[in-house]
Amino acid sequence: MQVMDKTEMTDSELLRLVQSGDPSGLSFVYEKYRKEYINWIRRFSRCDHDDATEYYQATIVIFYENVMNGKLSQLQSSLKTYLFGIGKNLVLHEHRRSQRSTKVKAEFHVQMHLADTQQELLSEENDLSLVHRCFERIGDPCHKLLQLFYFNEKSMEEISAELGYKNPETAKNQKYKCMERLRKLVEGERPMVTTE
Amino acid sequence: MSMEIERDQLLVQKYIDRDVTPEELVEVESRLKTEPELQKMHNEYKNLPAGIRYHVLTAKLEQLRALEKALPPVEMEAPVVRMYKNPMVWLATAAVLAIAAISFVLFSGSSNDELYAENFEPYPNVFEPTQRGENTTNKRATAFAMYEQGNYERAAAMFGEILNEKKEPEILLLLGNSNMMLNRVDEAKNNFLTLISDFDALDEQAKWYLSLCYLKSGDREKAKFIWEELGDPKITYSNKANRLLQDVK
Repeated sequence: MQVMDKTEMTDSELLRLVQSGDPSGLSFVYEKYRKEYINWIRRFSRCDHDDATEYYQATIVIFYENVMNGKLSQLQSSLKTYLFGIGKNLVLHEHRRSQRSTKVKAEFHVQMHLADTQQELLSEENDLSLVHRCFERIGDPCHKLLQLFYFNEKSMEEISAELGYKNPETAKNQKYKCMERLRKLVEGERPMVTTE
Repeated sequence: MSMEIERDQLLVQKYIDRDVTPEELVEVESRLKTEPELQKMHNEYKNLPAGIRYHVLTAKLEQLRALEKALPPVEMEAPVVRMYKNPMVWLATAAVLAIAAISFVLFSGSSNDELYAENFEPYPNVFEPTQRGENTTNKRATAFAMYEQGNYERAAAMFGEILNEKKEPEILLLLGNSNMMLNRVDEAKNNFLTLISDFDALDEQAKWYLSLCYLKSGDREKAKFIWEELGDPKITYSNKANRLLQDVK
């Protein structure tokens, strides 16, 4: 099969490539709009190059998340307009939250995108960071299983087939145990980081 | 572990996964109001899915940072000043410059108009730039396109209509700039004052243009008050603000 040249791909084809999980798709999107976006956001937000790069990386990661969780299955505008739209929101959030002397951090904007309320992000070591650190330590099969379920939004049937469980019910039981394990890890860490 | 606790764990997990039956939903929501133990369990579970997603995205962020290091640095493009596409704007700008030059010859010291002409340039439409060859059919896109083309009369009218539907900081900033270009200084002042009082975004830009409105209308004291605030070196407009403070001394 002939591999299609990415430079000839339409926005929809690029979106499908990212959806497929092929990491070269996201890297290509990153490189394609990098110069234009960074120049634009420096003018829009009047920020330096480092901050502009942080905005761009947060934008690409949020775009990726929206693709992978199905929120963005079809583009209503061009991909460039979509990315610049995310960037515009990030700048407005940044202006609302901070003194201008604060450096932009992509992690903060990714957390903002994921958190239900900004209140949850007030502390440096918030729940998302804590879960992230504990999840790193959880090991397989839980790591793989929970990622497939909560990030890739796969069904129990798909997970069962991919990870070789007997049936979806077995995968579901394993997922329940993994979540309980993760909860215990997080709660075990919490007293060390929270002072009440 | 008791069967009840295990059942509750499963129930709460299903609840956060939005996988409960209608009967289970009623049960969980009513028990969450009255049972502190279940509330605690729910709080412990509820951020796990977002934390897992954050973990995956952090790894992706690291990959992008590694990619960024491997790429050549981004060169900064010279800004494109789109308003000069319109010949009327050329004429208007030339007239302003001519008046400024005549004022300079006739009067000693810097007049308000002179300083205004030196310092005012309309804020570029960096919010929703018009794509080359784009056919603008909706009101919003047309308003931005009119602004870029220097048709401030139409842009102002359309931005005004958009604001009647929903107040947005970008629209207020560009409407204020359109009004400045049309010499409607009082209206522009109101636009910037609304932007400053109702939004946190674009605060410095709004203050900068408001100070120029005060300068234009001869209220140097109010303008100076704002320049002192904008003179903080951390702020983008600090050089311009400090230079103006020197000029009006």
